[in-house]
Amino acid sequence: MTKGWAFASGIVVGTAGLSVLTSKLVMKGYKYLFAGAMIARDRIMADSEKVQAAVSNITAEAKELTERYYEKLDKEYEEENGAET
Amino acid sequence: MKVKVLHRAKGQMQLDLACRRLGAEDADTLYYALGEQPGIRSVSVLMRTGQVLLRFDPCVPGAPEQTLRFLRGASLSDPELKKLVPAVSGRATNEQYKEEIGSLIMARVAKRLLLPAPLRYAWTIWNGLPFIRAGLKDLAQKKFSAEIVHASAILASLLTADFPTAGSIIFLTKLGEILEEWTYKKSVDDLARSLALNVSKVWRVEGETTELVSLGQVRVGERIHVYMGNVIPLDGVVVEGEAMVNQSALTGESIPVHKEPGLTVYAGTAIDEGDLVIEVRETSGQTRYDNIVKFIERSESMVAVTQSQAEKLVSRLIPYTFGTAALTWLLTRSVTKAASVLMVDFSCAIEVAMPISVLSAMREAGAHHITVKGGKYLELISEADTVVFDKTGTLTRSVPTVEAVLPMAGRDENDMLALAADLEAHFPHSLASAVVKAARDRGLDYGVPHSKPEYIVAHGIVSIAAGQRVVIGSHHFVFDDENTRVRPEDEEKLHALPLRYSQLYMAIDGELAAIIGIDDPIKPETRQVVRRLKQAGLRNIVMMTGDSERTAAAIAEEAGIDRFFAEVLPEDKARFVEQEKSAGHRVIMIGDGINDSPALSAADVGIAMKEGADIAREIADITLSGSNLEQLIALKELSDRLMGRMHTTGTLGIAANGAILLAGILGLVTPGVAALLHNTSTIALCLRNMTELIPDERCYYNTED
Repeated sequence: MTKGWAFASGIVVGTAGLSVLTSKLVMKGYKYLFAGAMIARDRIMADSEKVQAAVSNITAEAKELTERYYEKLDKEYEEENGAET
Repeated sequence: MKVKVLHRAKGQMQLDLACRRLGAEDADTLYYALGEQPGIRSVSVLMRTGQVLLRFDPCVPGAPEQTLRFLRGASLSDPELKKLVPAVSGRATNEQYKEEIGSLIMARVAKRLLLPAPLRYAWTIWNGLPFIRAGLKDLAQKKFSAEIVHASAILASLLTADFPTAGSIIFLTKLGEILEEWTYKKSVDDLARSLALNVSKVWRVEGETTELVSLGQVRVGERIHVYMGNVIPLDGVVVEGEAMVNQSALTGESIPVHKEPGLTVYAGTAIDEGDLVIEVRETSGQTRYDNIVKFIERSESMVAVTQSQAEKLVSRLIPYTFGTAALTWLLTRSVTKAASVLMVDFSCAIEVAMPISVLSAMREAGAHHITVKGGKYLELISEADTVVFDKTGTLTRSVPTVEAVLPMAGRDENDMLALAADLEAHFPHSLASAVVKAARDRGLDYGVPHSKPEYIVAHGIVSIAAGQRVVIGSHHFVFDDENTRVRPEDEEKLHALPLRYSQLYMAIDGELAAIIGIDDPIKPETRQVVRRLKQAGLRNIVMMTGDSERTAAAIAEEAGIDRFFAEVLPEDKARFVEQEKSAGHRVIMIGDGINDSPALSAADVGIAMKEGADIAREIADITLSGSNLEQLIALKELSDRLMGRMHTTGTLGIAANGAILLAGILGLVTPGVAALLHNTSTIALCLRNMTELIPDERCYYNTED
């Protein structure tokens, strides 16, 4: 039973289906589809730029934090052992 | 324009410009305009969000505030700013590749999530076919390349109906290819842009007059006059004059070619001897740029020896990969495990990561204002043990100054200086420029009619002025060659000037007329640079100069150089370089004048300074576009680190892939995971190789550039 349906639908798709898929109306639809995909892609790439900015900010701040941390350690060391000449 | 600071940290700033997004042209203007600001380490223009990320040099205080002020007062349609953008900016290329990668990733995600299984499998097979075809082609040609390994990995996964694995291999391979192509193209672009010598002014001939105009103003059909030692800036046909032209920028050969009226000359070539009047045929900056790109791509000298050795080694390993896969299958009867072996391809790391590290090093050199024309030269610098320095303009300040004009009895100081300046104005030698400048500073008028001065290399010039034969040059030239007489009352003047002054002797009609004393102080960083170079392993440091023995001795002592040669002719310089090379040394030659060209070509690595004659910069393998010798230290360190990095690339590549291979054989990972690990490690290696070799934080230059 199902094999028959599969065969029949295969024929339909192969003949009528192809001409539907390439008909003018559907072709027009593709324009919008592709445009939509491109816009989605650009949106995502814009978001990736935001990520790039965020990463840059975070790295810079992290660097600052580590510098301050080391400065603090240096100060503590100096206080304990007396400043070096 | 309106600028809002979105984020501020030490050495970094994120700015929002009041626009939703930036077009390519505006982005470029912004990028190059910001690049000119002092204290800026890097600029990232985020086109799609209308923002800018800036990183500052910690050694330049107040840079962020200054940049903000500049931006707030600037406008992107300002033509002055637009001029800063080079003829071909790399932005379009970068955006194209970014979009390609974005599309690839999106397509994969969409496919995985949206496409039903049968279609997905069909799509995978469709995508895999090109790779399989490429592999078969290489196999037919008996070329054991990485393509065959990729193809067999994909085929193996497809045949075992492991579509997810096949899909991820295809995706990762494609991604890898795009990244590789992008890095390569970007590096070549960056390099080409820095090699496109910015000859900004040319002499345009109109009828009887010659005037200095900017390059952009010259049109097709107009004529330009190019002098000895200069670069021919545009393609054209010779209409007057004769010259020997060095075409190494185009053809790679340094033997000069004879050009006469009727023959074509090309942009980027340089005049060795003679001068030409050329009718311009091509004015676009694109041709010049394209020529350079072709030259770089074609040039064998790009590839460092280490790299080509590694590549050869790896292509010999590929048959073994197949052997191992076959062996694994025989021993374990598991196609899965055998397929894992195929996923791990040792050559990837070497073939891709090594060229990337070389090109990245060349780009980084560019950021230090050093132009390296081939990876081979960085390798040679790392191996070098001998440096030959030219004196004038290299070790010494590029603008020597006239400190004294000593006229002989009965002559007027200013007259002598004016005459000398008139004659010297024709030559691009730094001593000549000093004389010209001194005359101009004193407000002396030009205009002594004279015949075109004949330049005798490293000796001096000869001309006829007001019916008299005038010679200006070194002691050897003026006295020994020209047999100049000295009046008795002038005898003592010969020793009047301090030892370190270079002395130009001027004689009129065979009698000494004046001595011009030119002080050529060494650059402030010279002594320290010499010391550090010795520490870095360049034990053999030599100075060679056409100048007199006494001046050379004084300068050598001040610079801390033990070996020096004075009154040297250009051929002697080259001969010395050859001698050292045959004695087994690797020689670096640093010079800036026309008379350094033979030695620059002869040396293993020839380095030219910024103020040098164009021809020196054409022939040289590396040019320093700054006059600071400290760049040499950066160059040496960059080279050493690059070599280190290339070795670790090889080691890490083999270690990582070896581990994955073992894991695959032992069944610890599936082929899919093995492929993922392999590709991730390769990409990670590539990304690492793109990072800076010399860390940012250091304040590299103590003195002003």
